Amino acid sequence: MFKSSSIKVAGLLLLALATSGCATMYVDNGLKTVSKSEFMAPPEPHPVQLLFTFQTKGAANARATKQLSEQVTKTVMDSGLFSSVSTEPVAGGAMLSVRINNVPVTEDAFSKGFATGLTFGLAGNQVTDGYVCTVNYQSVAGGPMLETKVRHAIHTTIGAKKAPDNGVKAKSILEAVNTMTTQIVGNGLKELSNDPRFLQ
Amino acid sequence: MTRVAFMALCALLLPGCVSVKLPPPQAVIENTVALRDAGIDKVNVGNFTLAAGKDKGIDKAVTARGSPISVEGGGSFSGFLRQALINDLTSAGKYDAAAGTAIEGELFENSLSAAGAKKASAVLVVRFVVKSKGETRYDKQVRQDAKWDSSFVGAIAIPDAINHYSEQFRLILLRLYRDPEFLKALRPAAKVATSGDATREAAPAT
Repeated sequence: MFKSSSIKVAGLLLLALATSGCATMYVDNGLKTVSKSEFMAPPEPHPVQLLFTFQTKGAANARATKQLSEQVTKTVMDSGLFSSVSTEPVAGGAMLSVRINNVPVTEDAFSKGFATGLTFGLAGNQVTDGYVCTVNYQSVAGGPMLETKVRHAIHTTIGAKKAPDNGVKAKSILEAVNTMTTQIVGNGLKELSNDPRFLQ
Repeated sequence: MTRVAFMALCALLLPGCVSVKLPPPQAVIENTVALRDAGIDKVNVGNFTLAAGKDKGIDKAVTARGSPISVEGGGSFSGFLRQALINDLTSAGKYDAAAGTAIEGELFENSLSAAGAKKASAVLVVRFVVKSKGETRYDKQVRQDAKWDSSFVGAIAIPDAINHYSEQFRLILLRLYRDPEFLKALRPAAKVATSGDATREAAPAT
């Protein structure tokens, strides 16, 4: 449920609907989609157990987790870093945890959205949702826990506001969230694969 | 203009009585590792029910500013907790429906308070019992309290309340997994830690 995962955006969309404003979403261009050749895949990939959680301001968001699980699993599989991905324990005991936390960046999003709504979109505004992806990996039970962190953002404009210079326009909220997820998880995995301990 | 402002205000403050169904809980790394690395045997999960004498309503739904929160599929919160435990044990490779040792639970308290403009809170109290071949190895009441910053704006406060509330089920289990007496009761050469019906308070999780 993306509306609940992205508090400010939900509020803005609500306002846009209620007061005739118009919301457009942009995925920050600071991160790119990682191609398969950019991952440092091990010569013989092993199976891995994947645990995924989406959080909103640090609290697990069960509905968003459910919504994005399939895509995160696909991103992990497509990386080629592992031979198979399962939610249950695997032979060898490797475990991968992916956690995406939606954090506030624009604190006064509601007052901005409110002002835009009341002026029928003439007083345009922009708010930004931040995302922090933490990837943890343990090759064997009890072994060292590797960790990488990657940050991303989705910018939303409402009303008469020009497009941000640092964003790529998304056709819908779904496309924005899916693109952000693929990019943030992909880059987290890429950093993980660059850790020399990953290949050991 | 006044009408538009009023509508916008209503949209902000009264987002409607949205009924929310919590999806099945998913295992996370903290809970999984806590069980996996504890050296425990595989275990079964028995009945999880509402404690005798408690209001049936607390097992069916809580509300956040008029929005009812319940479990997907029409289940109970005690059943939701049972499923969360099974998912954690499965994720850790420690679940066996045929095991001779089983964990049971009774829901004593389940509340969500999200009416405040600045603070919200939730409380879960569950009695956990570990039984093996008719012998009680563990019997404690575990309490999970949480407080978080809320908002005057319902569109912020309600989703926040849903997320924080549902997370308490994972956290009460993590508190259980960190109780040395609970782990001892599940280890292969476990000795009887508790007998009789005496219910004790679990020590706070570290």
